[in-house]
Amino acid sequence: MMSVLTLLAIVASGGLVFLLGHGDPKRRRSARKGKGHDAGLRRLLAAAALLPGLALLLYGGGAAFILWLGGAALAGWTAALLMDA
Amino acid sequence: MIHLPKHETKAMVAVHGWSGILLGLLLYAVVVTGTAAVFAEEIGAWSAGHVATRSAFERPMADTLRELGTETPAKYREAVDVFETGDHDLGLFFHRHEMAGGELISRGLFYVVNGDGRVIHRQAGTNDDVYGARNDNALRSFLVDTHVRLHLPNPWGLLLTGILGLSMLVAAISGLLIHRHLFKDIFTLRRSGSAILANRDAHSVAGTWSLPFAFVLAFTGSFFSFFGTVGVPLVAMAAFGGNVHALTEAIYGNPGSPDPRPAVIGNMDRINADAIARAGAIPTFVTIENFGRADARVTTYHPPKAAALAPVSLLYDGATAVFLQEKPLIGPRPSTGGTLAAIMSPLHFGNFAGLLSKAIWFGLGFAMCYVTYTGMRLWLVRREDGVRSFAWLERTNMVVCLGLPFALAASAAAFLLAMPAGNAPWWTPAGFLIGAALAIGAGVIAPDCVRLGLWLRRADGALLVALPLLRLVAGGPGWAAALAAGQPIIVMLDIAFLLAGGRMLWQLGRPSKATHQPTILQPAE
Repeated sequence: MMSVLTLLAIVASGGLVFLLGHGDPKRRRSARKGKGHDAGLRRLLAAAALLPGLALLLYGGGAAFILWLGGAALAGWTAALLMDA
Repeated sequence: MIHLPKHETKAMVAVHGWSGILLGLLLYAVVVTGTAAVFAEEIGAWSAGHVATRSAFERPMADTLRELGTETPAKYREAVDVFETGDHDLGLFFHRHEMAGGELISRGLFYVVNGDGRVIHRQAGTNDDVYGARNDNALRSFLVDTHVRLHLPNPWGLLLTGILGLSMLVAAISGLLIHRHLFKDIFTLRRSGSAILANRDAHSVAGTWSLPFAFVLAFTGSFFSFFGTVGVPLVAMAAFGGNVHALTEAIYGNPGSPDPRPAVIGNMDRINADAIARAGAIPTFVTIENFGRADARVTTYHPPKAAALAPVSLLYDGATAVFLQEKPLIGPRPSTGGTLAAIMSPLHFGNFAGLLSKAIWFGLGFAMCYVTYTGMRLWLVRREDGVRSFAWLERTNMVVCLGLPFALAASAAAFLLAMPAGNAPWWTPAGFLIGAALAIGAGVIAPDCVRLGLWLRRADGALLVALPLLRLVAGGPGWAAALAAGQPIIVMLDIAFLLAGGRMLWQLGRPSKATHQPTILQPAE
């Protein structure tokens, strides 16, 4: 059960990280894709991406949080590679 | 992020670059094999075609244990290790502790009992013989041994991998300090600029995302390497007059007054059933101290419970099979130090939440390999137009980074072909050496690095695709048989090899989109 919840949290954070990357101003500028998200929206997305991890830390325990941290980090790297591709 | 003065940043860049380039190739070898070793257990089942799913600890073993205890000489009944070996067979190692060359070893008799309760193997020897490579686990053992000590003799291999872990820690800290725009650059991968910029972006993006785990894996890896080679002898010298056995007893043993009266060992089946119910998992290992005595103690070791990080150990009275207490890893009572020591292993191996945690740890290990490789590439492309030529180093870098996966795949191929004939312990390292020699040979004769990279990638891809086919040709179970036996990991690894190899070959057929233009970087970049 905890593994399923952790996986859902990783997917949720990964999706938000992907959105964050999609609108990343520096990435868009270097790829000549126009303006990115403004600072306010970026902060909101970043905070929302951290929320599943916070929930796991409070209710799921250390193992679930560490799994989420690793999964979200991999999702972020994958997002950067996919957007580059 | 962290803004250091310019001269300090320059010094940090030098520390980061030189620590990486001096030990980077060895570090890469340790990280690649560590990444593969995350799935060591699964690779063991895949390569040997293990299809049994019922654990030896779920089968009756009490009578066998008593019978073997009776026929084993009394001098080897000081302790018994009980664990699974082969295809869920039961391994029983009756032994005594001895000091040999300043090292604590176990010597005794080792029995293997199959699923029908028959003893299929008897062997006299030490812990090195019992826990070393066997015909059916030679590939797994080779992978783990390469990661742990690069096949160097004790203690030099462990010391070297410990130093490599520290160098990874240094690289992670210096990388954090020199990166001026850690979060601003976290999604920026520029491929259309110069080769320096492309390598710098690839290195820093992967490095930033995996930074917390670089700390964790480097620290825990160094801990394991230095624990036995430096920590234990030092503490034994300082507090136990150099007596390593006394130190081990004090840390891991069970205090209490000795009671050497003879007593038949309690019902091991009852202990197993109780331990599985309490821990919620099958034991990974069981130890019995003072076998056949009234003060016998049985300790069962289990993976962490759901949502927990620390493994579980349970202590039983050996003579009565009564549960005594949950046992901390270190000392008789729970402590912060004991908990920290207990979570080192799951944090390093990523084995605390089944396949999900292993998959994530594998991905993070892959990211570390990528960071190490791109870091060395960055160091080299920066110096491409310099006074001194580093062409030989670039060639070496390519031979190691692309040739090592080829050599590992060659060792797997050799294992698959040699295991049916019983020669796997010899052929698995031989296959690695043959693969390494071929990669080095390619490095010597290739006209340029572009061609060398092409050859090695093609060889990597082709061999990875060939592994599942070799497994089937060598008599391994087919997909239907593996799935019917409840062993889907065999099918999953076959698919993983086919996808990884297929992708490499497919990528080689695509035209490269990178065009290199000169770019001037700031010192911190």
